[in-house]
Parts: sequence; C-alpha cells; structure tokens
Amino acid sequence: MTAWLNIVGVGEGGVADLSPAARAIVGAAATILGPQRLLDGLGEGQERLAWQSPLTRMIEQVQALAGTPTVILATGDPSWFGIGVTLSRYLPAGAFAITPHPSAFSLAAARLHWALQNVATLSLHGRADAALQPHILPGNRILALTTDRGTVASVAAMLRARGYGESTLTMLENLGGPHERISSASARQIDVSQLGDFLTLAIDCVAGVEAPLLPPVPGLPDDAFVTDGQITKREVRAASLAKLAPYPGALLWDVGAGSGSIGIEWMRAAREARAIAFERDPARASIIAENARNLGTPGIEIVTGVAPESLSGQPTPDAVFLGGDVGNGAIFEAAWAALRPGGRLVANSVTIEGDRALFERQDVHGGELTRIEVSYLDSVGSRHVLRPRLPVTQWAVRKP
Amino acid sequence: MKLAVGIGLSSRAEADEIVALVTSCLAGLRGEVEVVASSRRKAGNVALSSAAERLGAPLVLLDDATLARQDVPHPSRVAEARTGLDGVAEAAALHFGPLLVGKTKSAHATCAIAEIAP
Repeated sequence: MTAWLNIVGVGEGGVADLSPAARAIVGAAATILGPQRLLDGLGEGQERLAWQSPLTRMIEQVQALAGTPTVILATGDPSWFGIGVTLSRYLPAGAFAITPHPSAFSLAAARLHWALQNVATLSLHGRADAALQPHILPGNRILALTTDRGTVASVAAMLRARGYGESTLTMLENLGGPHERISSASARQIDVSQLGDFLTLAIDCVAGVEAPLLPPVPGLPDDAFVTDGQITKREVRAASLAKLAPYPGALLWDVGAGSGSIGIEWMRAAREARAIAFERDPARASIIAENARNLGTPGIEIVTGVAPESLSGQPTPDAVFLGGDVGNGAIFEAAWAALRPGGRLVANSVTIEGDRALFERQDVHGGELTRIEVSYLDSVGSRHVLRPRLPVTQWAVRKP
Repeated sequence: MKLAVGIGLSSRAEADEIVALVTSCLAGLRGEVEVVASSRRKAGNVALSSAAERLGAPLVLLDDATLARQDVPHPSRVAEARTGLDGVAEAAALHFGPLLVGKTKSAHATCAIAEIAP
C-alpha cells in the first residue's frame, strides 16, 4: 500500500520555515489537517480542516480521508509523544509516512547544551505528574512537556516534598519562535505567576542531604511505602523481583498484593511495565493506590475480592507473584493456567502449609527452591543482636 | 483534599466520554483524584483503563460484596436488574469516603465523587 497520508512536523515558524522537500509534500496534498494555529499560515487552494475534539472525532476525521492525498501538520517530532504515535494504533504502517521537525526536547537540549542521550524525556502534558517520581534522582536531568504553567508549580511542589528543593527548574517558553524566553529558578523559590502556558520544562535534580534515595532498582526501603504491616520486606522483595525479571511492557499479576510493593517496584524497574494488584481486603485498595501515586506508578490496576474468582477476565500475565495464601491450590492452578508459556511464577511462603504446597509443586513443575533467612539489628537490654525474621521459602519456576 | 471517582459504564462508553464526564463533575472541587473506582465486572474494559490513565490515578475494580455494602442515595434500576447491585458509580466512590458529588450521567457512563477518608 502506498502512503496516502503524510504527517509533517513543523516548528514555531509554521509551514513557511519547512525544508523544500517537506513543503513539496504539503503542497501536493488535497487536504490538510492540523491545529487551527498551523492552518492559518497556509495559502489557498487546498482544503484545510481544523482538528475537532475529542480524540475519537479526530480519528474519524482522518479515516474519512482514507486513500486521498492528505497531510497532517503537527508540532515538533510526531513520533515523540505526538500524533504519529497515536495514529499508529489506528492505521496500518503502510498508510502513512512521517517527516519530523526537531522536537521540543531537541530544541531544549540545544539551548541548555545538555547531552540528550543522558536526559530522561517525558510528557506531563495532560498526564499525571506522578509519572515524574521515578526520575527524581541525584544529578538526574529531565526534560518534560507540560500542560501549562500549573505543571511547573506542581513539579516544584513535588521536588520540595521529596527533599529536592534546590533542584534547578528551567522554563523554555515558545521554543524556536520569535517570543522564545528562557528563565530559571530553584524548586524552592520558583514563582510561576510570570510564566506563559506554552513551555517545556527542564529539571536539574539536586538532592538535599536528607532526601531519601529511591532508585528504580527493586528493594526500596520498607518505609518508602505506606503499610498496615502487610508488606514483603525489602531484602525478600529484591530477591523476588530479581526472579520475576521485569522487562519493558511486561504485565505482572501480584496476587495477595498487601501494600502493593511488588507490583509497584515491577513497574518502576522497566519502561511501560504494567501490574495488576489482586488484594482480598478492599480496605487496602486505597493504601496500594497511595503507594502507587507516591512512587510514580499511577497506572497500576487494583482488583479487590477473593482469588481465584478475582483473577478471571484479566489480560494474560507475563509473570505472576504469589505473596499470600500460597498453600491455596485453587489460586495457584488458576494463576498457572493464566500465565503465558515462557512466563515466570514466584511464590513466597513462611508457613508449613505453604512450604508443603511449594515442595509438591516443585516436584511436579520443576523450578528453583530457595530459603531466604534475614536477620536485622535489634537489642537485648543494653546489648545488640541480629534477630532473625521468619525464614521465607521461595519457589521460582518458568512455565514451559 | 483527596478524591475518589466512582464510575459506572455500559460497553458503549468511550474513554473521551468518561474523561469529559469526570472533568465536569470535578469542576469547582479543589483536590486531587487519587483513585478511579468501578466494578470488577469491568475487568479488561479498555475505555475505563485508558480513562483512569488520563486522569492519572490507579484504577480500582471492586468486588460485588464490597459494592453491595454501600448504602447508595440514588440506586439504579438498570444496574440492579443487570447485576443485583445498586448504582456502581456511587457505591464505588462511597467505598473510599463520604460523597461530595452524587451520581451524574452522560450517554453511556455515570460518575460520582467522594472525599477519601483519612
């Protein structure tokens, strides 16, 4: 199929600033779609259609033009949080071609002399600011698309709350246009009242001495989570996630999620990783949700009620963690049946009943059995001791 | 103020409609949406999960017993006939705290908002 649709990225200067090749593409179109602001700069002779909202309406507009020479004008690089990404979910790859313009990220890195390959790039445009959380690390540099100056205010508040108040925020307004303006302030002192609403935000993270270090590597401190006491302890959590092996886009079922720590750390460890937290006690749903927001994984899904019934109707997992009621054969069988071939299952037990079930399952399905014994610093009177916790039996197996 | 958004929907609802409905219900409220809640019967509903993603809050799918425990002010005959439950939107929101905005409808979705009890 030949491409009937071209998505052309433009800068602040609009179509007039395009390369001759890109301008030829725009000139050959019968219909041009885009935001009104970009269409205003075009000459006569071609049909111009402004985007309608919502998104479903935009998709209908595009699909109605199928087969006719059409151009979509978009700002920056359409493949970077842009319309090119969205349309690839609705149109076959052969239907359209993309001609990028330097993105807001490229322009910002150029102004700041930042090494773009070492910068975290994310979109906070119309999305949860919570997604910024995993990137708040000492010395880390972040470029973020914003909704408006309100994004800057909430990012500054988040940085202060995390002990990163000395971080430098640089606001790059109207990048690439005649009204380009760049200003900087610390997260502690920023005043957003003088800012416009069309800006890219650069964050140079500076950690305070007391700021907790929360890296994406599993094994966050237990006190990074809100909990009613039901949480997989740090060392065991790290050992469990190592065997669950998160990777980009993979889906985890965390069955018996408690405070949600396993699912949340799974999502932090790999790009676009997803998790569903199954928890019997509905009162824990708000605890899991709070932890997910605090730790930057608002995309977690939480399902209440009794397993295995609660597992039905959910998408196929790439990995399963069994953290509660491990001896329950019905839960194991349902989760094992749902797991995709090649997927991993990790189950942790502290009870004799749980251990017995794991030994029997290992006999049938193979996999590794590990005993994890952790002791922690405590005292007896004036003396110090290393006090053992209940040993954890861990079974890790890959489904054939 | 921490807010919980309860959502009921038919299979014809789209994410745009849900987000627009929730946005109109949130107008005038100062606070952050901390959870988007619905029924476990909606497991795998793409419109619901993408609406939650756009609202920036975890999606909580509550089981029937938890929803049935709530005393909803505006029960729905349709929902009751179909699921044996009163209106999902209010029940799902009420699980997290007292209602601020009662059931509000659009063509294929309903929304209610509660303040999350500390």
